[in-house]
Amino acid sequence: MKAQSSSMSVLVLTTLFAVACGPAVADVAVGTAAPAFSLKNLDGKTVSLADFRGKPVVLEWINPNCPFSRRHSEAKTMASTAGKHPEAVWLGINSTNGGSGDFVAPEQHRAFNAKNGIGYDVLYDTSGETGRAYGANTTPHMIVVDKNGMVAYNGAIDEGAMSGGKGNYVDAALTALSVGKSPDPSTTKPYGCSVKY
Amino acid sequence: MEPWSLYPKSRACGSIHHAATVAAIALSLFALPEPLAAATGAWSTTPEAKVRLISGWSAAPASETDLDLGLDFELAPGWHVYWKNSGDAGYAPKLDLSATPEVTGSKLLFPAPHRLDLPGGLVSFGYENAVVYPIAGRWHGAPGKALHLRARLEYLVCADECVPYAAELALLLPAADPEANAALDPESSERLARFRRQLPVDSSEVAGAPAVAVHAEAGAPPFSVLVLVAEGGKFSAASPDLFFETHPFFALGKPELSIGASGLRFRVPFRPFDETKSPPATAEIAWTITGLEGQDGPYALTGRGTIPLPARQSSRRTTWVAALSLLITAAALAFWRRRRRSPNPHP
Repeated sequence: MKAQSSSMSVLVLTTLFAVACGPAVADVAVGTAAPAFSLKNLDGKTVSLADFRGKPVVLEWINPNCPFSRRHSEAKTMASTAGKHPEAVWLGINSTNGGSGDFVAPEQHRAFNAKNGIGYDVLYDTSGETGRAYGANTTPHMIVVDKNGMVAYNGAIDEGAMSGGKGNYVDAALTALSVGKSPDPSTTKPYGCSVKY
Repeated sequence: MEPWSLYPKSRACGSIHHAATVAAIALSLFALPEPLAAATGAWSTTPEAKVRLISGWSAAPASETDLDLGLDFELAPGWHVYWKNSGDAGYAPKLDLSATPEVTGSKLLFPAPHRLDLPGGLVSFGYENAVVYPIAGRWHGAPGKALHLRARLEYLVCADECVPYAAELALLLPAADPEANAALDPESSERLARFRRQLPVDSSEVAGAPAVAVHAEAGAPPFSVLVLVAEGGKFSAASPDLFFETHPFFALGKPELSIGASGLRFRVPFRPFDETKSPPATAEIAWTITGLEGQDGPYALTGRGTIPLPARQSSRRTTWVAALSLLITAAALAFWRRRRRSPNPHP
C-alpha cells in the first residue's frame, strides 16, 4: 500500500511538471498575449509595451550592421509603413548583445536613424530577454500587437529578400486591424540576418 | 559591401563571353581541339564564397535527357549556405534557368543538411566548407546542339553576419560528337556523384534501412508532440539528426532523440503559429533523418506523409484537469488513511 501511495505522488508531481514546463519552441503564437517588456530607448528613457495599450504596436527587430536591416532602413520600408499608419505605435528593438561586433552605441544608432528617416523609438535589449520572449530570430523580424495586447502578426516585413519590397505584410496587418479584421496572413517566415544574441 | 545596393554583384560573374575568352586563350596557348574545362562554368567569387555551375557531361547530349548539372559552392571558413528549410534565419539559394529554354523543369536538390548552431541558441540548417546542389530537370538536346546555360542565382551566405548576393552564372558545353557515346567529364561527374550520394532517399532505396513511422500525440498545451520511430533493418547511427521542411501551420521545436535497442525515437514538440485559427485535423509532414550508416556508407532518409493530429486541449482546460486530478488524489489519499486508522467493524 505504501508503494501505491508513493507512485500516486509521483503521478501528481509529473502532472504538475508537465503543466509548468512546456518544451521550448521559438516564436510567440498569434492570438496569445504579447510578452510585456520595459526597455530603455537611445536616450535612456524607459519605454514599456503597457504604455501603448489601446493602440496597435509594431515591433521591428533592427540591427544597423545587418545588410537586410540596413537595406530596409535605407529604402525607408519601415519609416514609410509607420508613416502610413499614425494609429499605430512603431518600436525598433535592437537585441544585439553588447559584446557583439554588431553592437551599435546610442550615438551611432542616433546617426543611423537620422540618416534613414527613422523617427520612431529604438529600444535596447542587450540582454536579449525580450527578443527571446518573442522568439525574434532575424533582423528584421516583425511582430504586430493589437490594441488589446494580443499578438496579431508574426513574421517578415514583406514577401521576401527577393521581392524588392513587394507585398508588405505589416502594412496589410495594420490595415486589417484598423477595420476590425484579423491579419491574413497572420504568420510568415521572417528573413534576414540572425539576431546577434 | 558599401552601401548595400539591392544585391551586390559578385566581382567575377561568369559569362559565356568569359568562358569563351578562357577557351580562346587556352586554345591559343595549347592548341587543343576542345575548349578546356567545359564541364565547369567560371567561378563567381566573393570574399565569402565561390560558386559556379558544373556538369557531369563534357558535351551536350544529342537527345532529350535528364540534366546532369550542379550548383557548386566553395565557402570561406566559418561561412555557410542553406538547406531548403534554412532554420531560424537565412534562406536557400534560388536558381533561375528560365533564360535557357532548352532546359525545363529545373529545380535544386538538397543534400543532407547539417545543424549549425548560432549565437544565442538560434539554429540554421545548411552546409559549411563545400556543397554541390544537384539540379534536376530535362535537357532538350538535338544533334549538333550545344548547351549554353545561363543562370541567375540569388543566395545568402552567413557566418555570424550574413551577406546576400546575386550572380549571373554560365556554362558552355559543345554539342556531343554524334559518333561518340555520351561523354562524361571525370572530375565534375565524380564531384556531382559525391553530393548526389548525400541526397536523402526513401527507405526502400537503401538495403537495411529502418522503417520510419510518424504519428502525433497530445502534449502539454499549447504543445503537441510529433513522434518519429525508425526501427528494423540493419543500420547504425553515429550522430543521427532530424529535420523538417518548413510547415505552414506549425512551429516545430528541437527534436529529442532516444536510442533504444530497436532503433531511434525522436520526439518533437510543435504548436500552431496562430492560436486564433482552428488547427487542421491532419498535417502533411516532410521529414529527413541524417547520420545513418549502412553497409554502403552514410546515408539520409526522407519521407512525407499526412498524419492525423490529436485534438488540442486549451491550456485553461488542462490547468483545471490538473487541479482536479490533484484534488481527487488528495481526497483518495485522505480517505485511504482514514480507513486504515479506523478499526474494521467486521473482522
